[in-house]
Amino acid sequence: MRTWIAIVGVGLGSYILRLVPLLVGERVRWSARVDRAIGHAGLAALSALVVGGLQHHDGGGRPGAMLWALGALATAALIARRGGSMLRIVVAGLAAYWLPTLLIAGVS
Amino acid sequence: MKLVAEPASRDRRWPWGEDEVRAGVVAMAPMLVGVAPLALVLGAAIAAHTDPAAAWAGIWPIFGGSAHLGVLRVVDQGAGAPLAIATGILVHARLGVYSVSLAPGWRDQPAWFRFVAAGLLIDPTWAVAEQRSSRPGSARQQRHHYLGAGVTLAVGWTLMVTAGMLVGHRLGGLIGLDLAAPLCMVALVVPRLVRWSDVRVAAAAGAAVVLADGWPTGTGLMLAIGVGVAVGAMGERPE
Repeated sequence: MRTWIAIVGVGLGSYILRLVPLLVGERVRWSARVDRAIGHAGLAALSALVVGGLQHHDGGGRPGAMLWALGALATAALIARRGGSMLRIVVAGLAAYWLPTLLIAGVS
Repeated sequence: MKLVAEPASRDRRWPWGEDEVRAGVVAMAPMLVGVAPLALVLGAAIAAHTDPAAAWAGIWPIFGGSAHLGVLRVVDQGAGAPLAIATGILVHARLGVYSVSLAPGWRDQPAWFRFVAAGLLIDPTWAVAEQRSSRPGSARQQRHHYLGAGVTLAVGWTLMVTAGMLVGHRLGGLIGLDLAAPLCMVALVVPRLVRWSDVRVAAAAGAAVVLADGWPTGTGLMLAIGVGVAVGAMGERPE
């Protein structure tokens, strides 16, 4: 029963959190300064998600896993800079991670 | 955000805006790979929970892996429902910021869409909406794009979490798939790094989230957003 109450409570609270700004946004005209701040918030959130994802990467104890993960992100950034699609960016990034990992696993 | 008059595009031939729906599905597909590890972990946690049916029923209302996991952990530790609810809402606090960021661009959207969109709003759908809003298109096209992406995520997430209930505990740390999520985010961050002030915002937010490692789930991200906004605002003063 506790789980049911918790699920319903979080679901409702989270939904209200997401819905209210979308409804209020119709009536509120943000100033240019607030618009820019919101733009910074988006970029900051995305950057934090990248760094947080790298930080908590589960290398499974493989040697150099963090280094290869950094290499994967660098490869992805390079392809993104050149205007590559998201699919291409993810595939190239994962390949940049898997290739050295598999090579080292094969050698050892 | 650029909203233009409804063009006589191919999109208009289909009442459900097929082209934009498909584009939303395609935009979400790589992100599904990114959230797969979290879905499998959540599925395994649901299977091990004392009330798996209740835990599984939370997939749609909560619609977020970290908050869902947090709630289950708090309940498993014997804490009361209020603490579990507070934990889940705290973890989802960032979604309020996401919602605020989308609100100006969705002023012209009908009310029903905003009610539905709120239920689908989470990191990947927000990222897709942000990306779509940077390109020209009518309110209708943006709406169809978001719904295509959101429904794809909802269906994919439900299937993957359910699969995780069966096999999740056997697949932990599978060949670096958890990297797919940050790789998707790289695809969204890099095109936004146009000015040095953008780079400073990104660097400051990244540094903040590293420093906040070990803080309660979700609070590090909130700090990073706050630091990024502050650094961005400081960078604007000379102009």
